[in-house]
Amino acid sequence: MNARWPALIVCSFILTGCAGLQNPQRANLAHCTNQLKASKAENYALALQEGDLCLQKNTLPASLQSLIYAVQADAHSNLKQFPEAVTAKEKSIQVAGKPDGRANLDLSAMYRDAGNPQKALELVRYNLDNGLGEAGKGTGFHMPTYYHLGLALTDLGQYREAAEAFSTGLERQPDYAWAFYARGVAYGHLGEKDDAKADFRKFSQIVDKKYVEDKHKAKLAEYGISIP
Amino acid sequence: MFRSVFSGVALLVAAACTAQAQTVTTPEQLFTEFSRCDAHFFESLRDARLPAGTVRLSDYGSVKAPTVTSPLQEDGAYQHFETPLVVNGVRMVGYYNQAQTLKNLGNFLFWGFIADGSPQEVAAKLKPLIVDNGRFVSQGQAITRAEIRRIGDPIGQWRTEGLTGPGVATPFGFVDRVLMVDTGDNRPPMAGRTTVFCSLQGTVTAPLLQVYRPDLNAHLLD
Repeated sequence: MNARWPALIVCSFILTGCAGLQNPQRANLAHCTNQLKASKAENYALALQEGDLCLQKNTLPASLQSLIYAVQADAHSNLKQFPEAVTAKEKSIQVAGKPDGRANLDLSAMYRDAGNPQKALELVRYNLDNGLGEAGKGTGFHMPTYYHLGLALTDLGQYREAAEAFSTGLERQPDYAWAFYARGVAYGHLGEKDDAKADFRKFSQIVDKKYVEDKHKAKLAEYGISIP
Repeated sequence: MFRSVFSGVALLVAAACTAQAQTVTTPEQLFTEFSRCDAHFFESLRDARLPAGTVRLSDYGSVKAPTVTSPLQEDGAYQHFETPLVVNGVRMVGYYNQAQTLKNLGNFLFWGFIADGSPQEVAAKLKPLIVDNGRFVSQGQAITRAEIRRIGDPIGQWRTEGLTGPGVATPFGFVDRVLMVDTGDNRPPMAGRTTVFCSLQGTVTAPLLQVYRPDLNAHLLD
């Protein structure tokens, strides 16, 4: 999600830099800027409100429209309004009009949150079938693809395949703490307690602690592990 | 009361007969299990009754496998049979079990037998015993049955289309599985002989090995 901020800042400059526009038009475009600012400030309710006004009152180019929908999707997701997040993200992808592997992975995550792991899996498989890497067609597959693949498989109860997907991602990015955590969960379901414990221990050693929630600590505690 | 006791006894007898039927008692049955290139071979060795003086076995976890010192050491990956194991007329003189990682190419595991005779002779005699032998076909000098899995496919599901082909590296995110009969390399004990082996190569991970190679420490290539 952080990678989106440079794009947002650029768009913000574009939207605020239209000095030649009449006041009503500038006011309308201000809603778009306000959406981006509210999202950055994690005021998601305001982001949704401003985003809706931005879309209603302006005729934006497709790329900007797609971005506004993507921010709407992100805001819905943060507010745990998962079906709405899916709808906004699908609109963002549709408006963009070109295949985007990374956007499909984001949508996959939203489908998982919305309780539809089968659709989440289909989206990752679509990327794999069509050579849609995270950085574009033909750029290869890395941790994000295998991580989202593993999470969808986990939600579907296919724990062996999920553990395999996380292992594959770790070959590309051996220091991604959350893949160790997710593989630990999969191993736990498979009854491979030693492997699960080893993964949770590794996670506890390398994770950025500010993202660790109580539910993660509780899982680690089941294996006698605490975050140092 | 008597009826339920009788039913219970009948079930036990039936179960015992089923177990008996699954026990490998001939080298041919063992080879059929081997030809699956999965855990069946190692599971069947647990209770196999094979000719004396042929394959020496060791316990590896919950299964048995032909004893080798270490699949990671070139000089420790081979067992010579004191007495050849004769499979449908083919003299198997030894067993090897190798594992290695090649940078940028993935993990490679090879396990199987060394046989007397040419690849064509050996393959012709063994073919009737091979599972899914309709796909066991000549490919250059070798005779192979190849398949491929993409990471994320069901763990027991292998694709028979879109194969990588000989001499082509397995793409990242895929695993190739091949049963192959081929000319041994130039060094003893393979020199002048034929290798009959299974291979797993590419993105071979511990969760996959736990299923297909229960005789190995799944993390030996981590």
